[in-house]
Amino acid sequence: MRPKKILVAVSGSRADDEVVKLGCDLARKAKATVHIVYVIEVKRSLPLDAVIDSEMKRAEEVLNHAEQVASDRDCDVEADLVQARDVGPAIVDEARERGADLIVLGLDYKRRFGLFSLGRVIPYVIEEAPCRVVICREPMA
Amino acid sequence: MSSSNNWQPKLGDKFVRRPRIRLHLRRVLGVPGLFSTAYGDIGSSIYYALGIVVVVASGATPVSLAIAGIFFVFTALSYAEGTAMLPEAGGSASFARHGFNDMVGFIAGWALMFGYVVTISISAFTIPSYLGYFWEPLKISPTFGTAAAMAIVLILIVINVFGIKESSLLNLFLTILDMGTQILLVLLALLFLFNPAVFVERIVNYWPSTPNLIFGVAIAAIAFTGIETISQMAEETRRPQVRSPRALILTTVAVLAISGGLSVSAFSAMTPAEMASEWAKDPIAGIAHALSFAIVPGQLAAEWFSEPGAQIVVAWVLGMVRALLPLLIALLAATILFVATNAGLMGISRLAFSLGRFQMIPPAMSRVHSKFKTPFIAIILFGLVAVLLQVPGFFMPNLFEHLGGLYAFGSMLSFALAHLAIIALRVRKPELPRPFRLGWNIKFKEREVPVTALLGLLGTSVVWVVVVIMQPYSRWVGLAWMAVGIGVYYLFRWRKGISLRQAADKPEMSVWDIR
Repeated sequence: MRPKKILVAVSGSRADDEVVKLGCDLARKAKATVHIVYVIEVKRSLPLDAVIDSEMKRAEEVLNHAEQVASDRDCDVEADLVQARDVGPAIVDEARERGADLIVLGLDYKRRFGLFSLGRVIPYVIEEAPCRVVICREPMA
Repeated sequence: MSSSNNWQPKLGDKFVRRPRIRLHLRRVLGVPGLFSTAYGDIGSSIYYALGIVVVVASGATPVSLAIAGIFFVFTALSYAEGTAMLPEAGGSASFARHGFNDMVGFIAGWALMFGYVVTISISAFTIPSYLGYFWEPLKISPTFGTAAAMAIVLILIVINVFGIKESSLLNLFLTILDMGTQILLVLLALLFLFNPAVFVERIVNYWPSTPNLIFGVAIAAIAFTGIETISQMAEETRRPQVRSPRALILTTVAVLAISGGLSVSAFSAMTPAEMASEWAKDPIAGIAHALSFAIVPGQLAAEWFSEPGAQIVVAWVLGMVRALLPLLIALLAATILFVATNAGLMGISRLAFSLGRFQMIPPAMSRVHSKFKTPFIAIILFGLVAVLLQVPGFFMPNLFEHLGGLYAFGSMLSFALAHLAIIALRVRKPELPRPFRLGWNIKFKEREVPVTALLGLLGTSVVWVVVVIMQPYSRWVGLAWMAVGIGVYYLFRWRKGISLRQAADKPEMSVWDIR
């Protein structure tokens, strides 16, 4: 697998560091470019272009941290912030727009009511993405 | 030389903090998505509009709806030009702000908010009547009916504060089911009930007084509530300059055709007096009820087919239709109206956020919850106003038509300002790109002004004046709402030191890369 453009989606979860490192490692081997994207999900009771200061601040913190992790790996990245109604379609759309060959997503190890959960976003991206998808799940412990 | 650690901003320093990151908006809607959302909003109002109009306009109901339909077309056309030109959320408030100034924009927006609040009240108020199919007290008891309506709005307030995700697929499914059922009703009514002589006789014999006719036209505008939806969703639409006008025209045609068909069906099913007395709050259920008596499966099957096998099958099918139609209407109407009530709450919270962003209302009203990320204050505040409007339902038997009058007050004022703004933009800002430019213009001081906007302005203004003069309830409640709003606007701007008319500082929009 030699991707040329890698899209790394971060969400402020514990898995972000691993996801960015994985994306950078794959990019180094394949000499690919890396785009990091964070999606702010806007509820329908707000306009799509609503500026929510707390969300913007969190997004910048997450993306700053992701850029720092990438920099520690000697990896040049471009970070984008996307605001959308749904995270999954926004990631898929971003991948299509950029012509990404690979999407890298992270997954915290979560159990809901005793059952392991993939959440909403990952199943959607796996089903709809136009390219390969790599999921990086954090360790259990 | 001062140390950077001791640096403090001086009085009058102004800082604009820009996000470092490039920001995109994801526009996803196309014409089908816009149409299904808009029809879901507009198409839901016929479930109560027919009843309200017949209470006022009696035999002239089809005529009132037709005249209101013409105004609706003019308004839709003005919105088509405005939305294509200014594809931002805000609708008439946005047009008025660009065409005139912030003060006029606020008045249009505040009137529009009143329309939304009333739509929430009236949609929820109608649901118990349709659910009366399952438990009659919901329809016939003012106490149970009003309590249920208030509970519906309160539940939706909670749902919207939490911000539970809405399924666009479910909305699309409901819209298709709704349209399909309405078309089926119209076809069945034309097949089994329609008689041209009886139809005309019912119009003529129940013709109202002139004041009631005029008020009927005003009230009939409620059949077309929701036109703002497409405009409000322009920001989420791909290529809104092209797709919003298309969706508006498609929705206009669909709504007019189905509303016209349903009003003919209703007048074929029962007399205006029957509709006004027994089916005022659930007129579509009345049509289904009449059809269930008109369809006699065995008799019809024998008339249509001579083959015993075919007769059995057709009789079975007709029997199922007869049995299921009232049940389907009850469930579908309640569901559609529930979705419409929810849409009203979401619309009003978006509009409140937009007005807050342009510093037309105190930002506290559009504050976002830290955990749920929803404008919870706007949702709770305006939701409770909608509940308050329902309270007289416990003791006022004709609250239903008063709610119709309240809607006409807010929407006609907002639409009149929209038409006026479109005209003003033609005069003051002719250089603005107009991807959808209305034809049929007249020249005015070397500018071209659309005739449809002029006629729309005339029609909506006259109707608004009629409502204010003829309806004391609507007049005082509506004017009180406007007075409170204008008072808040004036005080807020005065305290902030912002001119009433000039645009306040807005958040920088240049960081947005909108796709």
